[in-house]
Amino acid sequence: MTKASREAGAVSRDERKPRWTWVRGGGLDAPGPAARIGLLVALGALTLFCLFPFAWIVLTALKELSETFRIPPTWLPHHVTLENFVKIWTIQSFGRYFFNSLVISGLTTLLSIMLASLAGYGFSRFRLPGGRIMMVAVLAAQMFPGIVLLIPYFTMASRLQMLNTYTVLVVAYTSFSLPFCVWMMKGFFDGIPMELDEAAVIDGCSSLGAFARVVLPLSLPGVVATAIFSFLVAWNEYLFAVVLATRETMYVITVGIASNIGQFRIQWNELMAGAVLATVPTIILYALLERHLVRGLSAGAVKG
Amino acid sequence: MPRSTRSSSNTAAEAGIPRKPRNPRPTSRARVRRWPRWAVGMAFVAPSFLVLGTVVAFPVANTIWLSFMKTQGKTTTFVGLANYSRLFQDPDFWSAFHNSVTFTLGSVAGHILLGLAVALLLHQRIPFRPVFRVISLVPWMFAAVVVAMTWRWMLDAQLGVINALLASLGFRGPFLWFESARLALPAIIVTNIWRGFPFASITLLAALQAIPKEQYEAASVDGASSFGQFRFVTLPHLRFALVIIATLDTIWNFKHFDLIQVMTNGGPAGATEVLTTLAYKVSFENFEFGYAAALGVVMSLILLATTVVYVRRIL
Repeated sequence: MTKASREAGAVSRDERKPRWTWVRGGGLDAPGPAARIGLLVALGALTLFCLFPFAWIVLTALKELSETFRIPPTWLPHHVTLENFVKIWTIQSFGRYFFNSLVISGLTTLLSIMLASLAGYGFSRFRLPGGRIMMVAVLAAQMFPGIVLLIPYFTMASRLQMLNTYTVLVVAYTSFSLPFCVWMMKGFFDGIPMELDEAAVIDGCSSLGAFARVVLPLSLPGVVATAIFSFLVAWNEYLFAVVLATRETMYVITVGIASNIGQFRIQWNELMAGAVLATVPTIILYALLERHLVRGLSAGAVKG
Repeated sequence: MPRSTRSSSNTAAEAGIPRKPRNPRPTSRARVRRWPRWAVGMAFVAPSFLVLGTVVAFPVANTIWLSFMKTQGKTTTFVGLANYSRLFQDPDFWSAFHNSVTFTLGSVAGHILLGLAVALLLHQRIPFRPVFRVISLVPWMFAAVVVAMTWRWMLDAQLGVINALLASLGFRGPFLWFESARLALPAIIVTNIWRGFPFASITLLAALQAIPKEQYEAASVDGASSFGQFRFVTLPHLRFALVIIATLDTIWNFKHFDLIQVMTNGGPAGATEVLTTLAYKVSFENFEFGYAAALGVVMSLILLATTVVYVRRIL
């Protein structure tokens, strides 16, 4: 593509979708002045509603303890301090919890990608006996309340002396993320023409080789989305973590945060600093995932 | 390894026959695979089923078995349906059941109404639409535990920002959100609506964007008002997405645990006790695994009925 034609393309794209004015909506006429004001008010309300709790977390995390006891509360911290972050990281050992969460979520992600891409490929490329039923079974695995699975899983883990290990949580979290990931990977593989892996097999690849060398690299966006999704599932989980990892050094970050509720006087500024820490990885990953997530989730519901 | 055992060169060399040149044609390679195709496919799928078997299938079977047992310490005795009959006579169960239904219906209705409103708003001609779309997803980023702690802090009776706002608007407070049996469940539901509406809004937005524009043009040519366009063009197109959101959201909220556990732990005096938090108490505070299992089985049956609706819709 020459530079001139690229510029021409850019111009025509800009004409279709002017960025800094009112973007064309679906089938609706351009709004009049009154409607515009109404829309702006609604957008302002939406922004406030969505962002205020987040802002309040950050603002509280920057306050000194005495300021959190002000009645009525102050909006902006009079004296901005980062001491809360240092305190929870060292004294409340959130550093340790953060590390535990990171290891568990990382391992869950690896395992989920491996298993889900293999299974997705199996479902996508092979005519399996009872394949459709198995696909539904995978989906139905999500149906059970965690507590139903937790009682036998807890008993099993304690018999095997595996309470307070990373493994017991990684396996559990992998099973939570698998249903969605398998379906998502199957969807991605379905979009890749079957001729490609047939060609690979003819050129001497085994089935596994065709999968790993040809099809998997082509579905990298799907792998990334799957990875981020399973990381978030593991990072945000609470119920299994609070039951299966009760030793303080094995706490994950959600358990660390929730363990504050029992205290006589909650130090909200430190707790909100913990909330910020627990949310930083999530924000980063959501920023990366947003487009994939919307597409992946909506594909099933919209197609009908 | 099937490939090495089947390679013809070994046997040929042993028999003293001169080595044949390797056949470069793919057919000889293809014969190396001795597994039928469906079995190869099964091998791809099997590891996932191993994990799901360990964490889902085995525990479910075990829970069903356990629900007919009475566990005391390390001894387990068969008691038939005693756990179930005890369950249905337990006022705590019925109160938790009632709260679960209220929590679920309130949350799902809130998610759908708010999600629809937000989706329609983001579908209008607005500036910076991608920015607002990301903003509307923000509540979804937080772990339920973080949301629970944040809203507990915002709703704190003395120090909370919401009571301060309400006071400055002239409402007589302070509202004791978590100390009052009347206010605690609504407070949790509002928190949960905040947390969960983005799923409904992005799904509905995607469904809105899939509606062909010609249908609106045809409707307006036929003289339909904007409400008429919404009623006869938009809503029918959203029906499928709405049903899916409603069923999935019902399942998710009915089995939700974190938010309620962290915000109120079922209190005050059981006013926010739902089936999941009750089952948690029965199993991991009283260690009555058999009774908790029966409770879990009943919950699973309710969810099964909802899932059947969902699966039949998507297939």
